[in-house]
Amino acid sequence: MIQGRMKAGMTLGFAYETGLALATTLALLAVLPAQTVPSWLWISLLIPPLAAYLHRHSKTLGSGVTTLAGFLILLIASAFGIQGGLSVLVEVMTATLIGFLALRLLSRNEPRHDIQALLMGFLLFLAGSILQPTLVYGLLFIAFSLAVIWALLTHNLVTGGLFREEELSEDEKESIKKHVLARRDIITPRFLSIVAVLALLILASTVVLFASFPRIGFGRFGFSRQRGISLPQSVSLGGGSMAGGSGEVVARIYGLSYARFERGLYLRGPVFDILKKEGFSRSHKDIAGAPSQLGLHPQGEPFEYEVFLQPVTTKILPILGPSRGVFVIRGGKLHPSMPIRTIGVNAYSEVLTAEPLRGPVRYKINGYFSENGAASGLLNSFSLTTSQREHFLKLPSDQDPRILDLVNELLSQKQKSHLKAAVFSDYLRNNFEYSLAQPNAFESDPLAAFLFDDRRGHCEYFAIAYATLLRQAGIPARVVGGYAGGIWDPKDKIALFRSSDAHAWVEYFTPESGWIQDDATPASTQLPQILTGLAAWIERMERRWDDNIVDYGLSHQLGAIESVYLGLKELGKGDQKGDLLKFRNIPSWVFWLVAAIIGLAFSLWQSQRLRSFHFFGRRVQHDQSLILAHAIIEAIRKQGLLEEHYESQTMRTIINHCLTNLSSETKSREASDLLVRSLKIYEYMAFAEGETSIIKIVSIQKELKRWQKS
Amino acid sequence: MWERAPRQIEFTKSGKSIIAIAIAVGLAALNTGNNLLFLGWGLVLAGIVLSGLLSESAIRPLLIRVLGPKLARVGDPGALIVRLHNKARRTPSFAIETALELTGPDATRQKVRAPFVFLLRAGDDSQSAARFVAQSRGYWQIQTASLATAYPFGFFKKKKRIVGAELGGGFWVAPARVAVDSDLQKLRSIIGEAQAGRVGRGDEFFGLRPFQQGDDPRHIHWRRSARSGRLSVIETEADEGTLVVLELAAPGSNAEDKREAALAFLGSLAERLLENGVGVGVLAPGLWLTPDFGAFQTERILLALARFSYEAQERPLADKRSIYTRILVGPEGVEKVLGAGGRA
Repeated sequence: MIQGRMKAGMTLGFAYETGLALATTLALLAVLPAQTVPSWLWISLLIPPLAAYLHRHSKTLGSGVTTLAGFLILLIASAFGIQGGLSVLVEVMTATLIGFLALRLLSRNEPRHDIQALLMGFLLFLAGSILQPTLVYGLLFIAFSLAVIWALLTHNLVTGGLFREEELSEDEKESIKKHVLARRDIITPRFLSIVAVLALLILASTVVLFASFPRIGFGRFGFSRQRGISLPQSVSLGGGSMAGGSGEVVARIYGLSYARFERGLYLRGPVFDILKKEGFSRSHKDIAGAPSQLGLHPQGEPFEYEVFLQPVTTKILPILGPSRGVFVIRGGKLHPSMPIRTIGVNAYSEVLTAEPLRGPVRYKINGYFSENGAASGLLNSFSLTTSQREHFLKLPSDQDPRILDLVNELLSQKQKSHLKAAVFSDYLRNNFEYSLAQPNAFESDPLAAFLFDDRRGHCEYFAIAYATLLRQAGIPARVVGGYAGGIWDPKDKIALFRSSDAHAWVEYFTPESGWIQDDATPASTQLPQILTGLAAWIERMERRWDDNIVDYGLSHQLGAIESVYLGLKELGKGDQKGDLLKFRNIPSWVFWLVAAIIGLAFSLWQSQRLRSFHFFGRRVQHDQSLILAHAIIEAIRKQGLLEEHYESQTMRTIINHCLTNLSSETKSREASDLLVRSLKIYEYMAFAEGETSIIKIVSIQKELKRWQKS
Repeated sequence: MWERAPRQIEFTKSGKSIIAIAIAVGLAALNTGNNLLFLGWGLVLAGIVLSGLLSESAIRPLLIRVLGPKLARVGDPGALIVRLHNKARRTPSFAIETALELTGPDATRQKVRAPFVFLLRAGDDSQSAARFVAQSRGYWQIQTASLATAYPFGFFKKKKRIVGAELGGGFWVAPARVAVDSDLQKLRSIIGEAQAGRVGRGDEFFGLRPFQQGDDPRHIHWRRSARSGRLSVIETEADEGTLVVLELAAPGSNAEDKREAALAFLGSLAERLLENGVGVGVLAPGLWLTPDFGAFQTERILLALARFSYEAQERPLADKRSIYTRILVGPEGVEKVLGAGGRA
């Protein structure tokens, strides 16, 4: 049978090495995919399996080499840290930790080295919470927890078995080590089920603790890393495309209908008004004017929508059109429970915040929806002051003269501003090709190269070209950055913008309609996208992660407390059973589950309390021999025959001492007889593990009680 | 009543590190509100809390019984049999460390550790030997036993202390084994006589009795043992041999080491003489053992010496010592041989 057991599972040594290698690999995976971590560090993934292989063959780095390499890593890290400052602190610390972890894994000679490697892995994993706060991190968190539990469990067993015999020689230790690591009777299916239960318990407890930790604090010190590529501070022709980001969701819009989504969404971010040869940038001081002059004109009926935005902008909350009011629900700062403050809407209809966004923010807007082109039937009279007009017509001094020729060529007959604009946008859409590549980026005049030579470019090229042509034609124009298009989740009716939806478009001014939003990029006319299949599933998981984990804050906790309070209040009123469903955020089954767990725990505690008693100062569970021992001790104590420090004596010694102190009267002889009989039964039960009838035990206990009272 | 905590908790190095990390991560999480740090903090704290619960579940159902050796010798490696029983119905216990605290006759304390138990399945027993070396003669008591486990994560070691009344008593330690070869040479004439008159322990069948520790395995009656299921040994009738009485000389000084040396010498000499087929008895203040042969007599003598106290004043009857060859033994060895020896 023992042989059978020995063959049952993997060796303890293999389990131990696997756990450590897996835990450290997962820790590395928590940080390596982050965009700010250098890609060559991916090579570190080879270290854990390599270290496990070398350790199994008793090959490790010497302490001298390890120390030297450690100092070298510190030196390099310090150089990078001094050069990059606080902005690269997390990355430098992460790279240093990766280096140290690799060294520790390759040089582990003692059990404590393994623990050090695991602790470093844990710190690395925590760094991942700043560098990569995505759903992937959540999935890695579960896997990492399992691997760490496994690694610690097996490590504890191995070290317990190996390193206790200090008096042994090295050969003997080596022999024991081989024997311990080769044991196959421990890692059995039963052991695996225990680990699984343990992992479930730990993860469940983690969730409970996570939900109940108080979300208080200052939020003054800390680091955050943006998810997705943030919107640039200018729209230039030299850099990469705004739309070249990953498919990571950066904004979600709640409260829209599909009909509205279908008409094309533009999540309007910063406005760029200064045109230079290399592109558009933002003026450092606001142009004097009112939103009615410089902002977007409201169109249609106002409506309410909610935005969840990753911190991809600086001090601007992007909107779908001119707003009437903005309310920040939560977030925006590092601390999710501290809502960022808005300071109002500026002349360009931008919603401004008091400080740069550093964390995800959720805000509600009451406003209008902006669409491309002028609204029909608007004949209002809008005007700009001369200085405003000059500001939005300003062209670079060294602009290519061919642009003016092109404008003149295109505008032979057109008089009205919006008709001229339509000519330009049609010209760009029909004669130019959309491309994420940058064929003109390195030309001396990228705009001219785009317009007259290559005719290929991304949204920034189209926006800048369009705005330039408009200005050249005497129409005030500016470029706007933000997100356009998006993707529709039909199940939850949410519009999503990904990093790759980053876009630049144009706003131009007409006296009839004011500022009009327009887009000359050919890709903007594509059909609306619908979220389906695996992508939909991943996005919904990601949304749950963002809503329930990343975005979890004080308001959630207060909401939960309020729900419980209201529920109990309703319950107290003795309303009908259905009233329990009034718990707002908590399903009723959760309430009943919690009540059942509390009830079960209380009844268990009560039953344990009734079945146990104190013996030698400690609580003893139901054990017949100890119950009898307790009865004997109590009887002797009541007779005043219990000597001091009896706790460290055997029952035989205690009773012998008691017998010598008993007087020789008949009564005492009966007591002696009783004590001797009690001792015999006790020793029989305790040491021979013999079974004694309960009647015998009860009868001797009764006799002891009688003697105790006499 | 003397009260003490039911469990003692001792933090390991990794436990201290994890507590430090928990505090640091907790402060960072509370300050920054980074929910993923809260998640990490939750994991660490859940690990610590569940570690406490699981170590309790591993250690609570364990029962321990410790059996001392029948007779140990000062300076000789001895073994205490540590028997663990897991009375849990389902949950196995892992990584169990057992430490015993022994109290010697002069109130000296000695800690003894039993081998590490990796796994004790629910309802299973484990038996192991805890090695120890007694430093003084007399009664050694198993004072306390502590069962400890660092299961599951090795963050801290939880100990359960079991006091003497639950353990199983103590054991006697006989005087040390010392070299008596040179003195045996002096007594060659006595040993020679014994060897001349004896062939083994005798050839005549005397009876059967259960096997006991110290019996020669060659004397096991296998057929009887197989039938009864218990080991039985053949007892043969002893041939006639030399009988001597080892008499403890009156101590020249009250120095403890001298007194103990005399006892150690007496015990070792008796043992060697008995091995050589001489019948040995012992005479000392308060102690009289009639000369006899064999392993039983060795055991009797050593046990008597283990229990011997110089404080005992009672003298044995004079006629009991006059009929045997008396060898007077002191701390330095054989001091004198009295009488020509009488055959039993």
